Amino acid sequence: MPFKIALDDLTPNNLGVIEKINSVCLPVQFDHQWYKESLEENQGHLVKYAFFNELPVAAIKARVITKKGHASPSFVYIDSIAVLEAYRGYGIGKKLLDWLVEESKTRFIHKIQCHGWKESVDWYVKQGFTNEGEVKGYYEKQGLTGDDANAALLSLEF
Amino acid sequence: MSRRRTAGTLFQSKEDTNFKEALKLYESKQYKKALKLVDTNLKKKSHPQSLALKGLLLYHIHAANGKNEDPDNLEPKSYFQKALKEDASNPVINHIIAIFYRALPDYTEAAKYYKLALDNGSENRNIWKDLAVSEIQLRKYKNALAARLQVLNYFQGYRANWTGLAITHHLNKNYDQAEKVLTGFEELAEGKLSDPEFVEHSECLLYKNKIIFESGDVKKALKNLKEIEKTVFDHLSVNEYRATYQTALGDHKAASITYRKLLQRNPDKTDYYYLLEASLGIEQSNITKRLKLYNKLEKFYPKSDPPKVIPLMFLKADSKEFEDKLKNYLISKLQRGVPSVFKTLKFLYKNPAKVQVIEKLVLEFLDDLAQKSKLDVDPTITVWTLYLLSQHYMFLGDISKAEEYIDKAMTHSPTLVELILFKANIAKHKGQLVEAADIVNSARLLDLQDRFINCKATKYYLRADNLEKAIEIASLFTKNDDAVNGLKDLHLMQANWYLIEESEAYFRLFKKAKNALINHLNKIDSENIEFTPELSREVKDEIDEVQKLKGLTLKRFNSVVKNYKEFENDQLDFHGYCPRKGTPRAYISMLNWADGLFNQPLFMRAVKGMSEVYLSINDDIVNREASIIYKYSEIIASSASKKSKNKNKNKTNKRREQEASKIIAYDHDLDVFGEQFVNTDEPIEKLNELFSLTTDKTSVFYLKLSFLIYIIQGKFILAFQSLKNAKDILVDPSQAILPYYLMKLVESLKNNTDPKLEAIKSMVVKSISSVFKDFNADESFDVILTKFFKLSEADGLENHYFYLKSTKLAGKYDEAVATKILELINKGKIDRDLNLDELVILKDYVEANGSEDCYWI
Repeated sequence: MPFKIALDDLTPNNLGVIEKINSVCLPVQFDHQWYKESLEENQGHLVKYAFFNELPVAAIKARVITKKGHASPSFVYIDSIAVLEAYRGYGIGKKLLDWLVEESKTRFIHKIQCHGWKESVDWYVKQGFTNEGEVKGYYEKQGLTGDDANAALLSLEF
Repeated sequence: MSRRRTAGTLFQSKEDTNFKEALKLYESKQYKKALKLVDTNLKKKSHPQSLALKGLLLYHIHAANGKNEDPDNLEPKSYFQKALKEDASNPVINHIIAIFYRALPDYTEAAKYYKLALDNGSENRNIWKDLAVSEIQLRKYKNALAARLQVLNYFQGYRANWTGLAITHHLNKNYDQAEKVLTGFEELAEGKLSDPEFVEHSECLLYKNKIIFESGDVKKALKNLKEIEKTVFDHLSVNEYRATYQTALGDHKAASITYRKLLQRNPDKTDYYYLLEASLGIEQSNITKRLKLYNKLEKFYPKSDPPKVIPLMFLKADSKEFEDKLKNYLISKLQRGVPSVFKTLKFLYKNPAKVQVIEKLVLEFLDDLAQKSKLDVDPTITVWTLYLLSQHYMFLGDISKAEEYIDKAMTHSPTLVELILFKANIAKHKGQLVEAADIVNSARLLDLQDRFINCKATKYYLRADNLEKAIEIASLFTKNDDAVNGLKDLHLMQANWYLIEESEAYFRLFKKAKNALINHLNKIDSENIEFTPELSREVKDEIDEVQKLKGLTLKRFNSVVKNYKEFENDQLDFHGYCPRKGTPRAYISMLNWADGLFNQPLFMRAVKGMSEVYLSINDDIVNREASIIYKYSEIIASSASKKSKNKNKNKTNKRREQEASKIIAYDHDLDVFGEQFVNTDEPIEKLNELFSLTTDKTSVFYLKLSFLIYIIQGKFILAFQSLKNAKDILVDPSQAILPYYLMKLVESLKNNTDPKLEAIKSMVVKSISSVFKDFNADESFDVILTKFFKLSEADGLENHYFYLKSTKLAGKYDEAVATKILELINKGKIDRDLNLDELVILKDYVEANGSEDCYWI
């Protein structure tokens, strides 16, 4: 079966797609403004869509974080990565992550960070992240109940 | 007018020089400068030619500021009258007036003055061309012929004039003459054509060939086709013509060979397959033979659909061949994830047995998919299969199953726009118009740059009567310039789909507002509520709103009518252009298209909508005294003090100005709210004017509407004639439509007290009984009701509606039928051929207990 997986950019015209994908895949709901900010230039937003046979099925959204007082960016933080359930297992998430890694490298950033539940962090670990352990109260702040978040970290080698 | 020669005086007066100068300025469109010159001419003494030119110049100057839209603006015409009074036989004046009428456009008058100019000795030979064009636009082919003969006479050096004359002969059905003219030029041109002229030559040769065929001499046409074949570029037409001629001559074997050739060119054209079958003499019922043919053709053209699909039509549903063929076709489409499978198979849905096979196969396919391990299957295949199933159940009317499958598909692939659109379609069929619009909008948000979804969302919002949201969305794709929205651009671009939907939305809103107003007033009236100044203001606002919506309804519908008139007018350039470019065949088909222009469904929708409103305006005029709205309008008008009146007027004017910017249709729109239409005293005349544009006088709609107009006008014989004609074309004359209209006719006969019409009335009564058996006009309506109306479970909304209206004529209002109608509507069991407006009208009518009369033409 020939599958064609391609990546494409976020534009003002397809902003609704990432909202849709995230809203059906993630337990957290973000408001429209949160997505809209990704369109602002020079804010270090990294967003990419993945298309499966021309159909948008996954999206990654990340940010370049520069710590206060620092001149160069400190790390890339993954806000969200989501693949529609029916399209999981085809390596689409990995493709998006690979893209992010390349993108981070071009900016000379050495670290990619994210938070997730234990189960999803397992996926990150498979992709080469290390599990940095639980972060107490991280989800509580977002109004989520259940387990605490785990932090995952990927150190990039050049 | 460039070659105009003013009367041959040797010594030109100063006026004549000025006039000549003004003409030059006119031609370079410097109207204001020209007007100055003309005015200096007219200052001292009279100069009739300048008077006429002034009229024409004023027309063009007015065009720039919209003054021409005002029907009372007669200024240009007054100058023509003056000019004619002074020198009626001056060809220059005649010509100027003709040019004015052509620009107006009024081709009858234009032709008249062109002719006059020529009769009065104008030496400007170009007038013959203009005359010919005007006459063709008027479809007066005989007059056009005379003009075209002159044109050729004067300008023989241009092929266009030969072709033009031939076309005119052809339109007059003088086939021999047409052929002769075309041959005449061919002989003249032989050996002298340059390369770029060969395309035109090729077209003209084919045109001549077509004329020979139409003259009835098929043999000669076929022979001619062979002669011209080498020179003609359009091989497709040559072969199609040949096949037609061969068939007409009975040479089926030769025709079949030609059709096979055509199939090689384009194996996707279904028509060729049928024509090939026919030329091979295969009987429709001979399934074995047909199957054999198509099996062979399928091998020849494995990538084409028709040889796979056509057998599905004639094979028996329970045959193995059918199932195998269907399976091959269906599965290969589904495997490739083709979204349009349902559309290509829709024709099979007439046969329930075949539908079952489809259902079985698709469900099996879906099961197989589920059995396979996930990663072996392309998930898009699953989703398109679910989509097909949803469409399938929807078509069968099983809404809950359709929803089940579309929901499954949407959970699977929530970003697929087609699914969301179909989900909205289902909601629409359930009558949930607001929800449907929001669903489409959610699809639109996925792809803001897709014009298709944008238009769909706009349309759904219009259906849901949400005009504000609709124009907001539509405006994303229009050129807005300094306007607040794209409405003006939609008018300019002649976006009829938008205009008609908006008109109908306004119409529904008008109906709703009017019913609400009547209910409100009835309540005030019956409960003796004190009519305080506050309440008075409230009611006045409601009345204004109803008037506004009524005006906008007519205004928007009229913009569609206006566009169609413009389409008709657009032909004008082609009468000259097509002969010049050498495209006579395309030109003839354009003329045919234009002849049916005012019968097109979209135009008829506009006529239908406008007639509803005009008829209701007529009702309002006739029943003014009894109308509760009128009663309260009077009370409000008399109670308001002059001071408060002025104050209120200022307030409303301000509000209106704000509103106007959002709904203005044209630059220089003098009647933004369509008041011109609403404030008419002659709605029936207006309606008749519009109605007379349609040329198809055999549709049920035409007969119904003409019936209604005739009884209002008291033309009972003609009204009866309409019903008689309707009886002949109604597919099912047992429906409640005819008896209802008969009762309506009888009622109008009874209500009419004109003693002069007595003889006619008794004649109509007699004729009714003789044409419509058992219908006795003297019997009471109660008797007629029991005799003619038998509603069954299977009866659709239309029958119920006419039954209900009939009971109302009989003086009772059948609550049971009314309840049944509401039930049918709410169940979503909507008749396929019923449109939304009718539904809304019907619902309102029933909900208002039939208090407000409504037409349902």
